Amino acid sequence: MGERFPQEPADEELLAAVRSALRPPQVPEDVLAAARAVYTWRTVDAELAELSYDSAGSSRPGAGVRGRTAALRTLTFRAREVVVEVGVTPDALTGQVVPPVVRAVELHTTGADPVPVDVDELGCFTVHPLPAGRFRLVCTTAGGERIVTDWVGL
Amino acid sequence: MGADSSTADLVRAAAEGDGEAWDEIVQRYAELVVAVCRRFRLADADVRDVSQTVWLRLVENLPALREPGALPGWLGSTTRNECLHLLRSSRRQVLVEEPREFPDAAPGLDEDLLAAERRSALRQAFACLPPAWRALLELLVADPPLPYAEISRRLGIPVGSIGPTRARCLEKLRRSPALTALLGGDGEQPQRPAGRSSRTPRER
Repeated sequence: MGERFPQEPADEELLAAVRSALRPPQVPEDVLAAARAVYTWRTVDAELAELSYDSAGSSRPGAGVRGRTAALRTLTFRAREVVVEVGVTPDALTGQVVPPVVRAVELHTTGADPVPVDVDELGCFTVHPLPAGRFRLVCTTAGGERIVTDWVGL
Repeated sequence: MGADSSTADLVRAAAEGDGEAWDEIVQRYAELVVAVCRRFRLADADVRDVSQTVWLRLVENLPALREPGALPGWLGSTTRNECLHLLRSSRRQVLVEEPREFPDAAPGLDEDLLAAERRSALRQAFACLPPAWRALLELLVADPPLPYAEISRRLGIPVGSIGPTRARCLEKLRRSPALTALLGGDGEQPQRPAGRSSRTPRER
């Protein structure tokens, strides 16, 4: 057969590329399953508060330690009109939504159901104990608008 | 929305709630995320961690991706940043002093991006072929390789037609918009194929 249809090397290369593109991604099955599954976390009609500062991502770890909260790490999430500041202490997350327009805060983790978090009239809240693994906060304003922070891992 | 769509269309569809579009995005780019993690020599558990964080981020960022076609770049740089972050984080301070220890991560990223874009373009081009041609190509790239006689039996086509049809399939692939856009030319073959070309799936 081969003699009757001499193969150009280019054809073989293209076939090899097709073979590679059609096989399943060469990644561990649980990594693939997790990547598919996270789509269920899609929030509709919520504004994203992007992680705009993370003391752990700055060149000098520990720079985020501030006098009052003695946080080991500080995170700042920014939406259009709201800023969510979060400090990570050894046993809790302490945070504040500025300005204090938020009526409810929920903690989302990938391993458990959402947990409501008390938020006071100044927009302050505490999450105790520390979430295990990755988390995000979902804030609902008095007007009913939802703001979700980026996911972060501790 | 599925494999025959461009990445930009998949991103727009997934942002609108199309779960199949999301699955195809994962099929195309899961390897990219893991490949970038491997460049930082992360342990398996950390690869899992970073990968999940990156995909979670993407879910929320789908509507905000201003240029949906730039998804590979977004995934690459988000993964790289997460890896650097992980390596810098305090619990690993003892092991890693400065992120500068990974100067080769950037050129490596370009290579990973190229491979991911090629995979994506080929999946799209393949999915746009007529069903009969897709069936033939799938058997032609089977691993281990199938003899032409077996392909002929399975598809009910003459052995003598396989070679010419194969040539037409490949020509069509080469001229597909997805591939020509990737190659930026007029249908030349891929410069660096993603797989090995040592196997020849034809009868011996």
